[in-house]
Amino acid sequence: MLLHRKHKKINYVKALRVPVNKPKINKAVLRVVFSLAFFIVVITSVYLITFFENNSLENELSEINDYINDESNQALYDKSEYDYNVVLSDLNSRQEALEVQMDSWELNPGITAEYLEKILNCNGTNVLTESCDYDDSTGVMTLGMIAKDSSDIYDYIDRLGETGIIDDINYNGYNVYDDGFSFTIYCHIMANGSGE
Amino acid sequence: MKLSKREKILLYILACIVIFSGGLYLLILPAFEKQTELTTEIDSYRTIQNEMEIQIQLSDNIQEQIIKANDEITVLSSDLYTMMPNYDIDVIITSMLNKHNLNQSSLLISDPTTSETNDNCIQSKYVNIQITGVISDVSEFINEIDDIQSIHIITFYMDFVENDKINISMSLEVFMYETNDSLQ
Repeated sequence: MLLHRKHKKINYVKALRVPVNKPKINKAVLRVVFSLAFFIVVITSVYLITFFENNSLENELSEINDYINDESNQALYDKSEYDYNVVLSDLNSRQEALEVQMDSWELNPGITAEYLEKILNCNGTNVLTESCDYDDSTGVMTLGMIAKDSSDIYDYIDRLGETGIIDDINYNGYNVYDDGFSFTIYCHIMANGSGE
Repeated sequence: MKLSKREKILLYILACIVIFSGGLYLLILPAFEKQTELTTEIDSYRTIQNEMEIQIQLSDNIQEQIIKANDEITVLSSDLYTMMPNYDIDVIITSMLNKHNLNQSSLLISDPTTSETNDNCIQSKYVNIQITGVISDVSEFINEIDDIQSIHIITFYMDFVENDKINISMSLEVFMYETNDSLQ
């Protein structure tokens, strides 16, 4: 009966294999570790990029500073600025002052010998000049005159008007003295700027 | 001490936060601040540099303008006396009076009460003279003054006395140009 019993085959190698406990890696832990590494890489990259950019900016700043602090550049700049702000400014104000003064003289040349002669030559034979007063600021000439007759006064005033250099004649009458008719003429010389 | 799985995960997350925050506050933010600081500084210094470059480039042009202005001033001031003391003014007026046979009884030089000058580059002096002469000589004297840009008649009073003689009281203004050699 034993002979007919079917024997079960036994795999001894398999039976002898010592079971190995493989360490089980937790997926959650793995994700956290990768995240950690990712953060480190990202932060380091950003820092490195910024570091190199800052380095480049520092070089640029250094170049600019070198230019600004260069003594020859500073000397050229200072001279140019002084020439512009001080020398040229002074010359321009002088030029302007001279031009204003010249224009003023051109507009008001003042009394001339020619004009004075023209006025004095109006006397004729019957009128004498006693005094002549002139003020350049107003252009007014005050003439103290003596005429032989009252009609000579009117002729004199006509002659004054005909000179063409007087734009306003003011006559206020006469006084009779032993030597004739004394009168005063106030006239405005046209050559003066205020009369034009 | 054995940590549970949940505790380990929390610790890992904490480590992530610490690394991220530390990196951000200790490395990245200071680097960005420095960058901003450098950029601002560069902008500021670049402005100065540009200003310097422009000013230096304009140098030649400014020199040309100075030469031109100087030339124009030379032309404009050519007819004006340069600054001179009172005794020189006296010499000029007295020699003119003598030249035209006018006898002077007084010559007084004074400063104008109101200055018409600009920037003090044109100075003036008043000269009051009392003279005696004949009309033709007076006329020639006035004629000469007309030709001199630097001298202007302000007022005169002529008193016609006998034998064609005239007593004259005249105020003249003598203009002088003051150069500024210290700037040239």
